[in-house]
Amino acid sequence: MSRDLNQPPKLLIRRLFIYFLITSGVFFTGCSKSPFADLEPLPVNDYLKKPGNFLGNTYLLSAQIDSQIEWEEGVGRILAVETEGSTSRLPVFVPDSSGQNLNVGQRYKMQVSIRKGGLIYVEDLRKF
Amino acid sequence: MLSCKDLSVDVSPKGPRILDRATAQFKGAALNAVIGPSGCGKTTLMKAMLGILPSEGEVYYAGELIHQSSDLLGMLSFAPQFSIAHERLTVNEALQYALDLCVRDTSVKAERIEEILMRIGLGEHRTKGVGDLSGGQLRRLGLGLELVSNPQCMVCDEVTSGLDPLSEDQILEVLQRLRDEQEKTFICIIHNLAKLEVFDWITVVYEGVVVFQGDLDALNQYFHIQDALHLYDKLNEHDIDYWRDRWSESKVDSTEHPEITAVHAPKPPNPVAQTWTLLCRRALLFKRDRGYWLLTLGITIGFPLLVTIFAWDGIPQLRGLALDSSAGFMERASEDLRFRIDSMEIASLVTGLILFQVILLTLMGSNNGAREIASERQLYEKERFAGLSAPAYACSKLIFASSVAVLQGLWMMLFVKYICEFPGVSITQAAVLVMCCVSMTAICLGFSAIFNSADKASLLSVYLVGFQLPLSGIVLALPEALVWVCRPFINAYWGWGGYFSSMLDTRLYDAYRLDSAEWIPSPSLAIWVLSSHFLVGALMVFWGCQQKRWD
Repeated sequence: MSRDLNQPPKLLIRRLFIYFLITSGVFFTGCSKSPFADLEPLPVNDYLKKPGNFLGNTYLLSAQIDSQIEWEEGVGRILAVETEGSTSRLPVFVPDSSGQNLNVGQRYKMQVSIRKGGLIYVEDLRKF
Repeated sequence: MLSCKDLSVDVSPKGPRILDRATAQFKGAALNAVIGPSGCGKTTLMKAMLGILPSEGEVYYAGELIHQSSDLLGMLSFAPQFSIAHERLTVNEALQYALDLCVRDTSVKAERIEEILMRIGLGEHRTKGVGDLSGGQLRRLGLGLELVSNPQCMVCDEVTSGLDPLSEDQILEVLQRLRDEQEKTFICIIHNLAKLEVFDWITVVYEGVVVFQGDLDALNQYFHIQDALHLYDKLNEHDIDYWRDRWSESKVDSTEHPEITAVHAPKPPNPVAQTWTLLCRRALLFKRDRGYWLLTLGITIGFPLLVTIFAWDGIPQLRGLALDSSAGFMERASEDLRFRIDSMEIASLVTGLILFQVILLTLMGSNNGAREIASERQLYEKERFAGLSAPAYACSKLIFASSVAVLQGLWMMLFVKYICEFPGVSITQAAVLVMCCVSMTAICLGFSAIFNSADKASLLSVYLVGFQLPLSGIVLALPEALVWVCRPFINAYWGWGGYFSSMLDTRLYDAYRLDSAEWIPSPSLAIWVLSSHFLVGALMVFWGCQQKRWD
C-alpha cells in the first residue's frame, strides 16, 4: 500500500481557483471592449481620394492632434490630426459640446461621421 | 499501540532504499527506546510510521490502520530534535500560544499550563526567553509543548542527545513520571546506550532494518553481550542479511503486547481562532524582533525618500504648444522643437519616478514575503502535526505580510505624491501601488511556502525583483516577440501602467504620449492583473503549506 503523505489540495484552494476563473471571465467579458470597438476604422487613403464615397457613414479614427486650423466660439474647432499608422494629416471638426481640453500631441480615439462636403465630424472622442 | 508491518522508504522512486520492510511493535504505557548507529534509519522509521515521510507498508495505532498523519491527530505527538519554539517568546508565551492553537476550552488551558510547567520543572523560568534557556531546559520545554494537547503517545527524536548527564537524567525522570502517573507511551530515539535500563522496550535498527525488539535482558542475551555498550561492535561483525535472517527466524519475546484503546484528544480550535492566535503571535514576534522591524521601517521610510530626491522641488510644468497655427513658420518650428524637448524631458522624469516607486515597492514585497514561512518551516510542521490547520497558517501569513505591504504602498503614494506633486486621482494611485506591493509580497510568500530553505526563497525573490526592470520593457525596449510573453507576469509593468494611466487627464500624460502611441493599461485593468498575481501567490502559499516539508 502506498502511503503518500502530501494531502490533496483543500476545498479552500479549489474555491479560490474557481473564484479566479469566474472573475477572469466576468472581467474579460466586461472590459475587453475598447471604446468604439464596434466601429470600422476610417479608410484614410480612400477617403483622401474620394471623400464623397463615405458620406453619412460612421467610423473610428485614432489620431494625434497636430494643430488647430480654425476655432469659432460656441461652434467648435477644426483640427489637423495625424492618423495612427500613417503619416496622413486630416482636418476634423470637433464641436464645442465635446467638452474636452484639447492640446497638441494628445492622442484620441474618435467616433467620426462623414458629413456634407466630406467634413469629418467628431461625435465622440476618448483620450488614450 | 503503534506498530508497522513491512514498512519501506525509498529516497526517490528509483533511489536507494533507506528503510527496508521494517516490522515493529511498540509497547503501550511504557518507555520505548529506538537505538542504532548514526544514519541507520531510526528517525526514518519513526517519520515513516508517523506519516511524515512517504512510505510503502502498513502502520497501525491501537489496532487501526493509519493512512496519513492526520489520522493520528489528538492521539500522538512528535517532538523533533530541533525547532522547538520561537526564540523571542518566553517559556510561558510559547506554551500559551501552543495551547491556544491546540485546545479550545479556556479553563482546560489555564489548568494545563500550570501542570505542564510543574511537570517539566520550568515554573520558575516561565518569564525567561526561549533563546536564553540551556540545552536541557530547551528539551524539557520541547516535551512541555508536546504535552499541551495531552496526547496518549509521544515520539521524541533524540530528546536527550548532547545533554549533560544531569539534564539527561532530569528528562528521563519526567518521562518515567508521565508513564507511571498518566500511563503515557513514549517512543524515544536515543544514542546513549548506558541509559537503556530506564526503558521498558528496545528496538534496534541497523542499516534500515529492524533487527531486534525486546527488553534490555533479552537484548543482551540475543546479541551475546555483557553490556549494551558493546551492541554496535557486535552489529558490525556481520552484514545486514545475517541480522535480518536471524531476527526473522528468532522468536525472542515475539508475543504481541496487549492492545490499548485509542484515546482521542478533543478537537483543536477552528481555523479562524487559530488564524487569530497566529496573527497575535506574529505581531508579538515582529515587535520583539528589533532588527527586522527597524529594517522594515527603514525601507518603508527610506525608499520613498530615494524617489523624491529626483524631484524634490516637484515635477516641472509642461509649457503648452499653441494650437493656433497662425504663427509664422520659423516661430512655430522653434516652438514645436522647444515643446518636444520639454515633453521628452518631463516624460522621462515622470516615467522614471513612477517606475522607481514601483520597483522599490516590489523590493519591499520581496522583503515582506521571502523568508516568512521558510525560516520557520520546521516549527510549522511540528505545530501542524499537533493540530494546526494549514489554511489557517497560510491565511495568517497572507494577512500579516499583506498588511505590512498595504502600509508600505500607502506611505509610498502619500509621501511621493506630496513631495513631487504628482497629479492624478489619489485613491486610484494608492490602489495601484498597494496592489503592486501586496501582489509581490504574496508571490514571494509563495516561494517561501514552496521552498524548504529561506535562502533559496530569498534568492529567487531577489532575482524576480531584479528582472522587473528589464522585462517590463518600459526603459529598455524588449524584442517584439517577447513583449507580451513577459509583460503579463511583470508586476512592475502593471504597477507603472496603472499609475501612469491615473494621470490620463494631465499634461504629464500628454508629454509621454507625444512620441509614444503604445498601449498603456488602465488603472482598473492594472489592479485586476495585480490582483490575479496576488491570487496566484496566495494559491502558491496554500499549496506550499499543504505540502509536508520536514528536514
